[in-house]
Amino acid sequence: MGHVKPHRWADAAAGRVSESQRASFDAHAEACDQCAAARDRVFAADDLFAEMRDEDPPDLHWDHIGARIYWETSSEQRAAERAARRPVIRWPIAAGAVAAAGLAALGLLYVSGVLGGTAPSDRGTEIAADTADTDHSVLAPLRDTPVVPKAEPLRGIVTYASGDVTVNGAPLDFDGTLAEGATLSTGEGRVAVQFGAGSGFSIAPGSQLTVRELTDRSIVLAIDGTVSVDLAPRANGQTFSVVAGEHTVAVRGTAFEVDHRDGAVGVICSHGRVMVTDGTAQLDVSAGFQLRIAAGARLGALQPSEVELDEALARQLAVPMVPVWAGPEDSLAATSSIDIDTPVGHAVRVDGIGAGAGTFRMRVSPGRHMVETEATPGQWSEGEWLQLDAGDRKVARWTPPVDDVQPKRTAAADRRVRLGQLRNKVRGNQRIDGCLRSIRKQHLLEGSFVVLDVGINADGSLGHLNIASTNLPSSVTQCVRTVVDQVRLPAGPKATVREKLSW
Amino acid sequence: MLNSVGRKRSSADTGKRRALADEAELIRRCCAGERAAQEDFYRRYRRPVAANLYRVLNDRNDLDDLVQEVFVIAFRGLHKFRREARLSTWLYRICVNVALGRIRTKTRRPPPILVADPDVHNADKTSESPERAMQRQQDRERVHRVMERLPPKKRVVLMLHEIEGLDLKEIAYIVEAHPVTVRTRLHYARREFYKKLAEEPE
Repeated sequence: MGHVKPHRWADAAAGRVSESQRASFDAHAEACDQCAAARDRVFAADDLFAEMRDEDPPDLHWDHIGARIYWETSSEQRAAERAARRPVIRWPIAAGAVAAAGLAALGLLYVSGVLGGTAPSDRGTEIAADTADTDHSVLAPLRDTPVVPKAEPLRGIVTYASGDVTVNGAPLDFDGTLAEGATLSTGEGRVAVQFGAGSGFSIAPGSQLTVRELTDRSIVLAIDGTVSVDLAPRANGQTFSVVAGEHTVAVRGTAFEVDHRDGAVGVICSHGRVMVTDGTAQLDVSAGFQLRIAAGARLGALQPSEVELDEALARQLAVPMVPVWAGPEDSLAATSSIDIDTPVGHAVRVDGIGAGAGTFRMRVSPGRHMVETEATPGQWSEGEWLQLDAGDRKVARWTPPVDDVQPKRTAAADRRVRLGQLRNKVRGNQRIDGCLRSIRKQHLLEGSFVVLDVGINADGSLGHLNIASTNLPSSVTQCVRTVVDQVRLPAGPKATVREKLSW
Repeated sequence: MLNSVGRKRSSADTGKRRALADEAELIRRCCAGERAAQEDFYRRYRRPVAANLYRVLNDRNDLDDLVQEVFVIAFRGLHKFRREARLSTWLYRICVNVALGRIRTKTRRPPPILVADPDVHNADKTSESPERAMQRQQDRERVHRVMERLPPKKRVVLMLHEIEGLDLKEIAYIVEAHPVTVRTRLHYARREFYKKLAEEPE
């Protein structure tokens, strides 16, 4: 008998050979070391297969995976809903309509003799029938020339404004429209602009945004500061991009935030997918991920990191929009606005949804709206119903009873202001980036964090600085601490804040 | 006695019918976009999906992403599920396609740096002697090495048959091929695998 084929040992182990065959296999293996070794390996593999069948999978970050699945599926669902809501311009149909109009015009010219034809008018119907079915040479140029639809300019409307927002240096006109070329500066305030059904952006305090292009073919925003974008899916051929210094963030239907300060860029994507490019390399950032690019860093060396669930979900609320879009003028005429007037630091919700804090103006649909103010943390005022008709503008004012003025509440507002200032100084800080260089080289940076407890004095110096929690090595932590300790903020309220830096 | 057997069979059938009805209801609710149902679906199948992907790929890297991909595809296509197979088998089909895609892209990339993960395989084998544990570990590594050298399609049918214990019809559904094709592919996969395993150096 020749050598036993290895797979026959597997058959034998599974009982797929007769007893006599098995006996002859064993007898051969007794005398053949090679077949005995093969038998042992095959039997061991068979045992292993049985073990593997019952093995548990490795433990994964189940909740995180679940959240990412939800983001991806819900963003698709949202996109589908938006697509169903907005009127879709079908370019092939539009092109067909243009071609048909052209044909009709040519036919008319031909019939009237302008093109040199001397056809009698009573043949008009016959000629029209011909042009529909046959390949006349006069139609060839029309068929060969692709019909490129001309870009139509778009305009946006303001849906939310607070503080000293300016447009091209002049105070913002809440009831006006915004077009290509506008430069919005937010100062201490914030502004949201809607430019289509389900599409808009919101600019954070201390930011400047220039609308470089705003047409139905291309929208380009240049940001120096922070902008949150919520975008309905683009039709084919339409592009949307945010330019942040040397980097461009290009998207289709999605929700994301771009932060560009002191040369550093941060991109957080909460829905869909964005593509970041610096002209030499490009990187996709999908839902639930963020990308932090330090000033001067090369894009090719970076990888997106996961973003905390709460932070990403908070981004989704960043762009207030009117639910039904009917073009800029009609949308302005069909909506109304509420001026919210509450003391600084008191959060406000409209119809149960957080709308902002302090004094601001927001656009709403006509109808009854409930405006509530957070009197003390977690305690909401009784609320005020406002009845608004299209074009109305009403004021919702809330003043805390003198006895109820809580110093704690003011402290919370102070903390918010100070935290924002601190973030601007430390996030994307080049010196902190230098501290992290060694662990970045070892590819250990992703997932690392440091939580800072910072006491800020009225003159802007830091009173105390503690590292509350971190997973960085102590030498790196010490370096980060030293850099943060040298940060100086503008004079302002005294406050203690906690900031988490994560990479 | 006969009555008792009949009763047992009837109760097993009832249980199966109930499970199917429960599964159908879960699918219906998922298709209707109910978040709770989708979460239930994910919780119910996440471990089998992860286990299947892990067995096919023997690679923990990116397993999170692949599990996510399987469920996103599943939720996208759940309304097209026609119940010609069990839901778990349908999910296996998605897993296999995702894994195949992964194998194909992996061959175009440099191999990742492997990190020893002793907890995964040796969690409950503490009573073994160290020599035996080491031998088993070597056997396992050899099997995986050989598996990885098989062409992806052969690797998948072999894995589904030998490890998952599925029959030809189920494998045919999963790999979207005729059962006869699967039988032939499996035959050659087994021959190739065991031959390579026997020839693999220590």
